[in-house]
Amino acid sequence: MIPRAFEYFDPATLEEAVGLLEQHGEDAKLMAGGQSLLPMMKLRMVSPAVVVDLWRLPELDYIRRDDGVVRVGAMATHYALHSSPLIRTTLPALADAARVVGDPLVRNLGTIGGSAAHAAYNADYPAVLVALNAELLAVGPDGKRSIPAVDFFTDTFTTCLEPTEIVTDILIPVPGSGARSAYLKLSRRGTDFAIVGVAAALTEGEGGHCADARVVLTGVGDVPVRVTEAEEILQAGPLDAERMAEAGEAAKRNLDPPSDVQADAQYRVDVSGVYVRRAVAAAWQRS
Amino acid sequence: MPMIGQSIKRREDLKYVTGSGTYVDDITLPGMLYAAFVRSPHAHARLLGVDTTKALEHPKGIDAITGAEAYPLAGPMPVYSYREAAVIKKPDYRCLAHDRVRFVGEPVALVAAADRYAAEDVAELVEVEYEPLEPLMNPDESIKPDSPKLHDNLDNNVGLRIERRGGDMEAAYREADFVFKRRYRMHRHTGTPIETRGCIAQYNTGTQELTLHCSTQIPHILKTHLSEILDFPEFKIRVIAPDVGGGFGNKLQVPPEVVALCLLAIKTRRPVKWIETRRESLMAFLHAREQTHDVEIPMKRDGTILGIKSHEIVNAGGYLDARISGPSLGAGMWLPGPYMVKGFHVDIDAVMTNKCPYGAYRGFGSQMGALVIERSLDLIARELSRDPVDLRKQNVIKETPYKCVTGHEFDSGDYMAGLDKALEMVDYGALRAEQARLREEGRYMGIGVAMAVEGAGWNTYTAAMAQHYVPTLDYATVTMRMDTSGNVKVLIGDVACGTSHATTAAQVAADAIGLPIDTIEVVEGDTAVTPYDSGTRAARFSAVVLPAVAESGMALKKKVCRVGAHLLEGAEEDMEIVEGQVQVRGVPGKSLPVSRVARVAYSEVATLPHEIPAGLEATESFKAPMSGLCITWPYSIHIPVVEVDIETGTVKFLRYAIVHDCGVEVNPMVVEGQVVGGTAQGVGGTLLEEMVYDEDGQLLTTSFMDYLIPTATDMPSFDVCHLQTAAPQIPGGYKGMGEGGCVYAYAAVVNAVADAIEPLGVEITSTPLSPSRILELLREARG
Repeated sequence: MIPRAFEYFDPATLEEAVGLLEQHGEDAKLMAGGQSLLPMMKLRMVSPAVVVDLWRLPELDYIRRDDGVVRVGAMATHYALHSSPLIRTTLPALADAARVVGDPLVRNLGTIGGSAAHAAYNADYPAVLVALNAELLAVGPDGKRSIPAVDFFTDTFTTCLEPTEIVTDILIPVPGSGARSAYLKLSRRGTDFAIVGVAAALTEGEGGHCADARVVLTGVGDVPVRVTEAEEILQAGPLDAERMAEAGEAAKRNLDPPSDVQADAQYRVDVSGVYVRRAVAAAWQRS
Repeated sequence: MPMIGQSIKRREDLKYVTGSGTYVDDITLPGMLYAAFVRSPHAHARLLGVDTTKALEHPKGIDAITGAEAYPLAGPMPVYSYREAAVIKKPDYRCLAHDRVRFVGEPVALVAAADRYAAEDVAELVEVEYEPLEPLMNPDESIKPDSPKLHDNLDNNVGLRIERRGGDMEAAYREADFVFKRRYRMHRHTGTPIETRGCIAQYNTGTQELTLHCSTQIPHILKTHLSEILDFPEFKIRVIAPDVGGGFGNKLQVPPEVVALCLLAIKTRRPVKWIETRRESLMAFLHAREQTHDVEIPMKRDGTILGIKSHEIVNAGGYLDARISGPSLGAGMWLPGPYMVKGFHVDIDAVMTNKCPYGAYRGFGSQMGALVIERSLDLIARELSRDPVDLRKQNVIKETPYKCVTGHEFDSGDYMAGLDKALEMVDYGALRAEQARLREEGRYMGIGVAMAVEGAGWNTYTAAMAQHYVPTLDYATVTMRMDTSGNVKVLIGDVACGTSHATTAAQVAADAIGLPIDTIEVVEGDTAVTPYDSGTRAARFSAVVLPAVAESGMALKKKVCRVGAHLLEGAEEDMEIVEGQVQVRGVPGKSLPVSRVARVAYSEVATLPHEIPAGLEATESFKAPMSGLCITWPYSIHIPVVEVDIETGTVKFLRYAIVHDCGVEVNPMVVEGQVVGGTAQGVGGTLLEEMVYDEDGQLLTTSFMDYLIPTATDMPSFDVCHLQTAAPQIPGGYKGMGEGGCVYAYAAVVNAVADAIEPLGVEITSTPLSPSRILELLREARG
């Protein structure tokens, strides 16, 4: 629990932050709350020579709605997200996820940008961001670029970001009428990482049908896993309990989840089906 | 108003809740160095060389010590022999590895540096050459005669063998209609005090004294052992246990790390601080619990239990901890539970493997004994188509005192009445009906019943056969010292580690002397100021230490009354102390404040007759009578009610009822805290906590992210009913009680989960009951 020596910077502007990354390259790590980085440094699992802390950048800490888009600053905390009336009403799945990240101490300091860029295979946000069709904005020496969530996560603990890029904003389209979403997580204790987490974003169509379904899992692969076969089943007829169960069964096919001390692969497959069904039901019950 | 029996608020809490406690890590001594251990990354390897040259070239590296250097300076770590141990061969267990390493995390070298960060960097620079060897992780393999030996000086890998017989087992088999047989397995887990181990060792060249500030439950015993191991005069060693953030029996250990730290302090002539990281703590502090039992229970068809026989295998790890025989016997000797059996037979093998050494943890093994008998009763009840409660009622001990075949004499209490009370609390009949109704809906509710007699005030060891000093736990000595203002310090050689001594000892002292509790303060933990004591362990504080507090308080009172009698011109035997006033019994107005008496006893000594000594101080001991391994016998009944989600294997508590009888309660609130805390720990041990090693002997659970201790959100609310049957053999009628919750919860929760999913064809005989494991069992049952 004792980190190696490192140099610490807390730049006052984004330009300065990008400059520090350019200067130190792979030796530098960004800190955006530090709830994953610091424990890893204390266990000497990572030992960056330079830590660039983003806490002084107020332009990255906001939540607002611009026209048809909810914009969230990368430094918005989990607490800010799950207590935001805007997020709760327009993007309930995101509020669900923010509410179950770690414990209250983590939620007070940890941020959505930090968690997304850390890209743990069993983190809560990645599945939700993919399900909600989010885009991540990143700034680097060559300016800003926009990255769809589905392309952002490339492997566990790995994203498509360059070492000199910083996630600044997360943009999520405001869902249309009839849209509803939920995120449901299975973990050993309330405060743990997901064994399986399921984000379900549904849109109600005519006659009790689900016109659109996006169902994405966390904890079962290196990146968020979208279960398209299950989505097709959900959209194929009136969405009743039987159809939800069928979608759950379909979600289990072709999964290749990891085993760890909390749960083996077979367990993750089994509960994926259950949690897909339950997450869909939870979303569908929301009006 | 007497203080005993009052749920007064804990007197130590202001300190704890305002963050003004002082733990080892809060202490900084002038010139202090910081230590870090180099630990083995291998489960089993030959140690070819340890080179500290590069490490000491680090600008902040001050000094280091290796196993080779330590070997001639410090003798082997102690192992206590139990008087009836058939075999006990001691592995050569040293403070730092010297020939082989035998578990991941074993200390290999110790470095001292100018600050804590540098210490870690310096430790990383120590070069160690290993030749990896095949690890032995499974005791069933390791016990085989052809298995490679882990210790050259042992005949095989059995580090300890104990055989115990009681009653007439042959008759039990002869009379049996059938013999119930099972194999049970309990997984490895341990107490994880929030404050890890830590120590500052300091050697004073001028006085040649060694002073330790150490997070321990046993300051006096640690002092004695260090004297023996280091061949250092005992009266030149002082151990101070400051505030201790949890012990759970783990801190009964004489840590090899502390021995090494003393060597480094003597070598550097500077204070050296070592604070264990959580990762070190999970790897190398003591582990516990892992056992298997091959059990036979001869039964009559009418439900009578005739006897119990078990072959118990303990996974002892790489070395024998001092207390290895305790939790081994703790399981074996608790097999008959609170039931009448004719015969008892247990053979215990503690087997060496390449895991962390196995030691004491709250309950001291007895939860395994409780699990074996309580789980078996449920399974037998099913075989006989009987209600499990009904089968218990048939076999439970009906009258106390009761002489058990193990040699224990259970002192007092009404076990049947306790069981009836617990059944009433949950409305057992209605609950079974509800269970049947829910099953029809496809919901799986389970009711677990477990009852046990907890031994409190253990005294497992005897010095008779020991090569080392062996602590004996059945007596306590307490000093009371009144100051010149009439206030009293109660000096006790124990250490509070969440155990409320500052409150309960003050309550007993207040009543014994007749003083307001505000004028009494309890002092513990410093060997220089407290009487010798075996420490905070074995649930002995109430049964052994509190009677000594009372004795000492009455002796002090006598001295105060003697001076008071002189001043009031009355007879000594007519004196009483009420609310801080010394007075002549039955003569109102003829009184003096105790403070006045104290002033005279200290500063107006010349005015006292020659035969009245100066000062007001008393020291008294209490020697507790033993019955078998223990002193008192509290008991309890736990009935958890759970619902198992058969799709995910998760367990939710619906209720949790506890009936608890620990004799006279000095402070019911404190008792309830211990019961609930212990039960929470037991629930965690059953459902969440497991030390997982892979086949190469790497520990996979090296942080609290992987080793899951229960949190408030995982706990039910507990309903506790207090019965108070006085211990007849203990003045005051107290029984010890700190361990029980942790003992009964294990069997009760396992039974509840098993009861829930039993209709699905699942039989549970091993733990932990993780969701993953529960689904696996359900899958197996479906075929």
